[in-house]
Amino acid sequence: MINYLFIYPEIIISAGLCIIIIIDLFISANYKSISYYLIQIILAYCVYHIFSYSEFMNTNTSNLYDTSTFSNIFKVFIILILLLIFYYTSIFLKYFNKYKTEYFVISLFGLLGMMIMISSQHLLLLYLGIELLSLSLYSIIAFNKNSLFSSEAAVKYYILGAISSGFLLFGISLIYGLTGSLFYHEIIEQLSLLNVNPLENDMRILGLVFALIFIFISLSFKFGAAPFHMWIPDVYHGSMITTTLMLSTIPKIAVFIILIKLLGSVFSSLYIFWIDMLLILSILSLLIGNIIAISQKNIKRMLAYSTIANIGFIFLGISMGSIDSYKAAMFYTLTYVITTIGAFGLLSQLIYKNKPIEDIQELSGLSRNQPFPAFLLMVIMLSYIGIPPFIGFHAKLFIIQSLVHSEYIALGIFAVLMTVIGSYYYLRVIKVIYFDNESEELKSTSSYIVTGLYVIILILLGIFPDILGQLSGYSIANLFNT
Amino acid sequence: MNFNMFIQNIPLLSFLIWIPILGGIILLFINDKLPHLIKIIGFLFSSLTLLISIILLINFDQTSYSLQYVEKLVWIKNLNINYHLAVDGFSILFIILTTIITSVIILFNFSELREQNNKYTALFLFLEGLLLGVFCAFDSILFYIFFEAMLIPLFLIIGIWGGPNRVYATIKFFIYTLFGSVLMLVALLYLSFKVNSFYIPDYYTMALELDVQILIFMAFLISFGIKIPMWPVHTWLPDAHVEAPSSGSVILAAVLLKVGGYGMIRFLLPITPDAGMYLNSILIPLSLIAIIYISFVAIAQEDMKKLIAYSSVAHMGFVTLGIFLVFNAINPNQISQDFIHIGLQGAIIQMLSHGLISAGLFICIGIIYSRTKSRMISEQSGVGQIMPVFSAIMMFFLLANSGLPGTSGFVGEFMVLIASMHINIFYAILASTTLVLAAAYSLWLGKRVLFGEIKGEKVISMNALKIDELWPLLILAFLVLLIGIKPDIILNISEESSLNMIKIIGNKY
Repeated sequence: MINYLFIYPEIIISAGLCIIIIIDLFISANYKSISYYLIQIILAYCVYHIFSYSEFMNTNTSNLYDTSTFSNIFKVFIILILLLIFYYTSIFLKYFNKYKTEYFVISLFGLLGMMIMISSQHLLLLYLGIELLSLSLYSIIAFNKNSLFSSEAAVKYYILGAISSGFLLFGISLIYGLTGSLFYHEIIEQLSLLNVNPLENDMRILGLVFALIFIFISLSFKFGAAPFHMWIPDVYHGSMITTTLMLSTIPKIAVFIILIKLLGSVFSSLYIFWIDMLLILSILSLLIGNIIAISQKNIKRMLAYSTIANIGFIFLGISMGSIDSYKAAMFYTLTYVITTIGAFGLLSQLIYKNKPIEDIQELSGLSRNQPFPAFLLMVIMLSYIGIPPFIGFHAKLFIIQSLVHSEYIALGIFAVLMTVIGSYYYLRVIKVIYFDNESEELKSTSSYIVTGLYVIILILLGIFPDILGQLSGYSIANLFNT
Repeated sequence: MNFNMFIQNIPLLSFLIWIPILGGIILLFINDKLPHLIKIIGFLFSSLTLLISIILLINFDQTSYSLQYVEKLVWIKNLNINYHLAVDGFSILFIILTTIITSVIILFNFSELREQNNKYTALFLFLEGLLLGVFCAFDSILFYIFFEAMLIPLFLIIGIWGGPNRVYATIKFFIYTLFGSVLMLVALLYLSFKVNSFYIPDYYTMALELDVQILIFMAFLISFGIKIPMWPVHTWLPDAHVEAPSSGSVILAAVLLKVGGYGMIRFLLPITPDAGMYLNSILIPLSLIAIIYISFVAIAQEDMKKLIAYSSVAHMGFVTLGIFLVFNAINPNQISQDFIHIGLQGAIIQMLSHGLISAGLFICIGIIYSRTKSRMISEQSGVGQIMPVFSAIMMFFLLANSGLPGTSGFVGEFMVLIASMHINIFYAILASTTLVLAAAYSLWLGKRVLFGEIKGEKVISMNALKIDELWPLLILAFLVLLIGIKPDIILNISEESSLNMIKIIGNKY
């Protein structure tokens, strides 16, 4: 008898979203918000279920589907963030009369994909999760039917995404050929029998490294690390700002968790091989992200390149390969997600000439007529630079500390110098907001309460970084002890 | 004694840091259409901070170099970073300087109306709190956090209320200082990795290889050298000064630059003395270039603010000279420790005195600018005939700037000169040219602006000095005279700490 309690949250979501699609057909246009609330109830119930059965889920482990505390923490985290994203999205879509329940339903499919990614203990299941996520992302990018940019972005992402899926499958098939299994625990067993020595020409290890490179390239593509970043600026630019908000945040957490799981535990014995890959990618990401961002005029493109630079930092953290550095990378990822939601969420609520914000210059003089959003945006930009006392500083501090502790001091200096270069384009946003003349065309639909709360949360997290630090420390410790 | 017990038990340093920040937050929520309320709140919070700092000074035990008013709380547990505040003989002086200058600025701010006055005053209070944090922090990460967070208020002050070229100036200022401080961050993390602690005095006892020391030294030198600023990395300062509003210039010259000097004393001297000694023949010429070359640059300036900005760089050259001479303490047999001690004390008193004098000069220039709307020297002449009281005070500050005996400007330069004389006579000869050069640019400025015939409509129509403008100047002038006549009150406070510092360096040998 299979115990379905393991995957009950996933079952709730998949069943719930099928029901919502049907119910939604019978709701008249004026009451569409009913289905929006139904979605929220489903998600809330899901969180409740995870909480109430967490003990059971943690003790009864499965080889196929991991429901340890580690997975559950992030499932809850992703669901909560998704609720926040839905809040911003619904306001945005209603303002521009594009509200359709399908948008949320498709996003829920993406959520399902991410939950499967987080929990999977099997490479094929992982692939299914990634595909489910990607397919739903392709369709919400193309959601803005009338926009040429949107369709271009979706097609671009789709084609590149298909190639990267091919890479992933090829890597997985090689792994299967070399180890005879796709279960993580069996791969770990097989790898532990190998004597990893880079000087010896062991064909099996060579094959495994070859396979790992394919898998890694595919995941870096999903993550958006340079040189596999080509899709990021175009897709961020082309899709609606709330879609960008979705794209740039939660999928990154899911991919990060896979990376930590695969590199940190499944392929940890191949550390000497993958550290170089990660270092090269992170250096390239830091360079490309920070330097190209300087010349961007469109704020979404600028933030896209800033995402690439941030991913460089996350990779630096992972590449050190110690528990502490994983904690630092986890902290950085959570920080990045929290700040990015603030940034895109706020931008989605600013309206220039009855259109969503596009150019940085359109924010001109925001501080004069919208002091609260302007202050939030300034805090976010300073946090991105890594100026204390905001949370981004601690994230960078932990990463650089883990670099110094691993005696990669030159790399640490490189990373901080890149931060200095990066500070220029963030400062330019502050300059436009605070130093330039105000324009009459800029309006805001944001509520003071949410904006104010966000400011308070960002500042409190900066003053008490232990809150996030404990969470990331606890979750990483959980992952590597079990 | 009961009172002393009471003082020791309340977290005075936390109050000192957080009261101005609290005041700033309150001000942000006050309508900027209520100038009187803003004035009262700003004044209340800045004078409350001043009061606390005076209580600190009165209860400060001058006979000990140990840390006083220690507060320690665990802050970031997994990294072992603490909220660790304390005060020693160096920091207490800078705390007093900060609180006095901020009170003076808050007083002076109300002489002119500007838009968003609540934010303007609030930013100064934030800046005060963060500066006090820098001087109180004894955990290196806490120090770094205050050190870097300090950039934000000044960045906004220059950027929002500055002159026409403000964006360039403020971004240059920000990136320049950020560049310096991030290198320091890596150095601090490396040091803490070696001793497994972030407590600054723990770094003093560690033995480092010379090549490692040199790298750490360079990181600190770039960071604090940009801040103070030293000669070739000073170029942000004139730009920032010219574009900043008057009060912004005042706090920049009077206190922010001193953070660089304070950092050198706190980090460079005791942590990397070998590297400092090894590089001494490069470092001291840098200071001498700052003193001589920048003085010539100052003479050639046509903008009053730029002139004073360059004179700040030249005066800071004396500070760095005094500090770098201390590295010679590592060879205890060659040079008497007493003279090195005099040099270090001279550097400290030079920083305080420059803080007061430059504050006074920038306020004077602000007063002229608010009336003639021009800072060009060529566009003003004969101000003395229209505003006699003001001109007398400005002339006093200019004389003090040129190092007139009896004013505080003389004491520091004299002490540093004595120390350099004993270490290398050529240093002393070259450095003493400042007595001529500083007099040249200061007095010539006075001659062109204050004396001579009245030129142009703008000067004739200048208003008389307002009471809000007079008081700050008088307070500063009084302090300049006080330190000039009786420098002991300052020297006694930092005596034990600087002796201890020299002992730490000597022990490393």
